[in-house]
Amino acid sequence: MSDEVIEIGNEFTFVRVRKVHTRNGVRLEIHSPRLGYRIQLDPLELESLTWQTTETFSRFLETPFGPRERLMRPLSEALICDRREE
Amino acid sequence: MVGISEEVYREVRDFLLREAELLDNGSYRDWLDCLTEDIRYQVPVRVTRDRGVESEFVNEMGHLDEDYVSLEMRVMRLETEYAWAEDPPSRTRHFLSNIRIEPGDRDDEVRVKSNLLLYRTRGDDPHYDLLSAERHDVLRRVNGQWKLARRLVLLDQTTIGTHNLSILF
Amino acid sequence: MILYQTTFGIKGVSNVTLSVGDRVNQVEQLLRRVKQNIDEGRVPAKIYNDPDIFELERERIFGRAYIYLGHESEIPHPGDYMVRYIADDNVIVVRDEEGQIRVLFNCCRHRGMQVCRAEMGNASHFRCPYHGWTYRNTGELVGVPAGKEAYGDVLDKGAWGLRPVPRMEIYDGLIFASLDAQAPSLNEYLGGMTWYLDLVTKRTEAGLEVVGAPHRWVMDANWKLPADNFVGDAYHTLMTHRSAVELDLAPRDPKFAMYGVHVHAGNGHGLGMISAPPGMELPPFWGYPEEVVRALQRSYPRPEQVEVARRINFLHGTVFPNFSVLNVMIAKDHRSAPTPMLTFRVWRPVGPDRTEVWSWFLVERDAPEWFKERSYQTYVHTFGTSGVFEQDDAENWRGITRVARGLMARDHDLNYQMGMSFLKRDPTWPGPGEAYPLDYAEANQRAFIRQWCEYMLNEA
Repeated sequence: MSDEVIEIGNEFTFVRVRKVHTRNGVRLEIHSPRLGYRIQLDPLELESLTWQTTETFSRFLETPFGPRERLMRPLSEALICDRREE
Repeated sequence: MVGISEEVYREVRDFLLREAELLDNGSYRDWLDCLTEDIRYQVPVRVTRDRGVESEFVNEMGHLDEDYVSLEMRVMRLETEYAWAEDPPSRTRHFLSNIRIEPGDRDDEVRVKSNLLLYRTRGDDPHYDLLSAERHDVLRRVNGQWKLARRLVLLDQTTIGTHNLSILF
Repeated sequence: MILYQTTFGIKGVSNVTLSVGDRVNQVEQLLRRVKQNIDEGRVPAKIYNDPDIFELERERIFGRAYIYLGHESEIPHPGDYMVRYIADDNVIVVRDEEGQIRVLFNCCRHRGMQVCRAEMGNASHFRCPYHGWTYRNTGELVGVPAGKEAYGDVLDKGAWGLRPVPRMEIYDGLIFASLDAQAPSLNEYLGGMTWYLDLVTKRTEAGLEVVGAPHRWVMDANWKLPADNFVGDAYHTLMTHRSAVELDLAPRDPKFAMYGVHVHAGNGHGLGMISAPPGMELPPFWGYPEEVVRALQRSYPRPEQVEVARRINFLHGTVFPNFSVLNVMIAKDHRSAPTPMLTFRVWRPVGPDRTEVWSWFLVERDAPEWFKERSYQTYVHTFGTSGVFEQDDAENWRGITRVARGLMARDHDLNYQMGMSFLKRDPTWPGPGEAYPLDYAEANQRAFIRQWCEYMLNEA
């Protein structure tokens, strides 16, 4: 069961956001197809985001391409991942 | 081309070519006769956006945003003796290609897409301006004649590379 | 003098017949002559097309004056940004997460790549496409890829943020910036002009709003010609815009624009406010709808502004050097009644004979919807890229630029004498500046040229 995927982007990057249903509940998945990261946040985690400041996100962005700092994911990997996702 | 006969295709193509000829010849009165009275003629402003944005075109702002009366006004202006922008006239050439026709919303209408390359030169200056666009038209058959009922001109430039738009697309 | 030589040293390469020194002397001489002769109402045509003058303008005018960048309503939400220009300098105008507007040089501190390439967008952080240096929308550098490995974690991020322009100030929603750290405050710079800008910006409580995005186009004309036109040239309407008069888009009297007040507001800024010609009835307050008229009587800071606005049907003006305002009631076509519309302009210099026009349409945010729509149509049909008034202006400005290119133009004086000896100042005028009771005058144009000279000779 999958809900509509929302794409949200600007000139710097874009991510896909969707609701993911588990057997007993629901999470919000944020997926970065460019970098290959994915996170599924539950309502409490999401709520905790609401009281963060820009400072928090600036800190997250200290490594602008993620902790592994792969500058780019190979295209083949991206294609395989995205197909698996569908 | 589902639902569009060879005959309609030929008629539509001939209409577009004739209409372009009228504009290039400065036969603006005759060009007005090619329009329906409820025509909407728009050239929206374009802004460079990232790939994720659905459209670069700004709905709220047009370089031209016309109805029949305002187009008639533009033609009447050219007929005064004081339309300096077009006297001496610009020399224009409308190059049309990639004509695509689909059935319209009504039985008497077709939707037509075409690519336009518009060449403009003025005076003794050997330089010229080129404007490139995709036109989205709706043509309607009125009393056996095709007329232009809607034209949306999607320009390829965000900053227009000619000194004014005293010419039509 | 040192700047002067640097400027010409670079340009001098392309000139084979004259030495750098000759060219510096030539410009210097020309400027001295402009300064001397402007009091007699004479200006050499050459100032409207000369590469050396243009080089110097980039440095001395656009490197120092306040340049209009945009309106607050174009970036209403945190993270909203737009890319704008101060002559050649590309800047990001952004509202940060705290709501503060900042103007940042759009040039990454690592290798200088343009950080924002879309003309507008929304972002809390900007990431450079070259190496990925990442900045918060305040300009602060927050992220550097492979920071540990490449910089050993000793990079002082605090020292390498996107650079703010030296001066940025906002007057009632109008965002201006100056590249000169020593520039006076914007209020001091605008001087008496704020009193008149208020007539346009303070009509209603909610204030102005830019609709959509600006028209942008390039015309082969010198930037000073449109600035000169808007600062005081009511006279051209009788010939240039005669077609519009014939079509009833403007009052039937071809000399209608004469019947107004011509004001030099100081520092080279000027405007004209035109009323109904004799024997013709025109609605008060530009013919704005009653909601707006009621609002302005409360919103204007001074009662005298209400009295002045009551008699305005057409307002044109320029803030030195290249920001212009036009607020006029004209008809959207030959079958419609006149409707007021407002446009802001920036004449961005891109060459001695090339100007990029930025033309915004604005309307009161709290005006009735029917009026907004009508005012918009009036703007598009009459001004902007395709406007039937605008078209003929461009034709004139490019013609002047073309013939000013040659040698004859150097000592070919243009007549700037209108109203010079006989038109007396109106001592009863309630607003700031020098007011003349007729808009067929060139006091504003002379004041503009004087101010231009002072900047060019480094005397401002």
